Amino acid sequence: MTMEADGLYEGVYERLRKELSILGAHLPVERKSLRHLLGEERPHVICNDGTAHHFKRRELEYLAGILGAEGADGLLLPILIELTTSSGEASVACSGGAELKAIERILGMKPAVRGGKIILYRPQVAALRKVLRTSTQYSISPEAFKTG
Amino acid sequence: MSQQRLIRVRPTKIELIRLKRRLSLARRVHGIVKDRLLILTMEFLQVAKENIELREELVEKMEGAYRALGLALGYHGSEQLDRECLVTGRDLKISASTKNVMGVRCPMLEVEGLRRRAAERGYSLFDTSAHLDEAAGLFEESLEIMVELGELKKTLDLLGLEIARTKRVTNALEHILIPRIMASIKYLQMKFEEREREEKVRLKRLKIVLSRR
Repeated sequence: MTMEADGLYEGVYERLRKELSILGAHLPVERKSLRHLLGEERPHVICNDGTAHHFKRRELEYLAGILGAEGADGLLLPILIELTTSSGEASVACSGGAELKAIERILGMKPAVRGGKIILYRPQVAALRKVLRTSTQYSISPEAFKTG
Repeated sequence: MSQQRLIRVRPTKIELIRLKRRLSLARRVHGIVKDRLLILTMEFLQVAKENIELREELVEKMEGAYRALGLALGYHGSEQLDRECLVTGRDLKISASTKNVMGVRCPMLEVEGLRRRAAERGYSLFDTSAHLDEAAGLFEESLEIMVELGELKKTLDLLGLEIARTKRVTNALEHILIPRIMASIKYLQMKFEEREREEKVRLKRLKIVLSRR
């Protein structure tokens, strides 16, 4: 049995705390409506770490084509896909009907809605990400933070 | 036989509580980092799949473009084709920005106004055949795919690096840090039990000595 000084581990714990801070770094400080983004020359949002996340205009125009003028106000981008890795499910918070309408059109089927959230399965998430690579963002479910 | 390493701490209850807190933090981080690794891997596989599909599309487009160019070359001759192509040159506007995928900053490239109609390309439509139009159109599409492929390739590299780094963190937590903290907690608990036993024995002996008097 060999013993190592406790001080050696201080850096390790610091790194662990840093790992936790990385998790929310890519999330936007404030989401913007589709209409607002379409009006920007280089559509982007600012992330928690201060970097910019740009959107592809092609995707925005595609979404605007699906939702029309009214829907463009109601859809906040990026769409946050909250992943629960344990169950293999993902969910998208559905504040208005815009998210549901867009996802329904992209997937070609009506996804399940439970408790104000659109429930997606992994293949559906992959299909959604393929079309909306910059307009969607992953986030880890807050449940993961609770387990100790 | 591997030797169990421990964290050297003073054998006090405070240290035990501190170690238990650290174990809880390490376990929580391990779970979350594993989740992140899963998402990154999912994204990596998606990008890789898309990369393969785009490559196949590019090969197909380039094949068609060169076939059409060969036909145009045979139809017009190299001199006329060179002359017509002289006026088609232009600068391309590619805007480069970044997108953030689970904390990985990936490049994003967009080409503006790459595809043109035949009349906008600049060569004479009266003196050239449809083969040249077809070749030009397919080359424009190929170029668009090439830019997209470049973006995907770099994204793939960056995601790969991040996956490797996250995997190292997960492994370090799973195989080094958590077992060491657990072993240290066990060691401290054994030490406390030992102390308790010593204390009991001491008290018993004291009782015997006192009863003899």
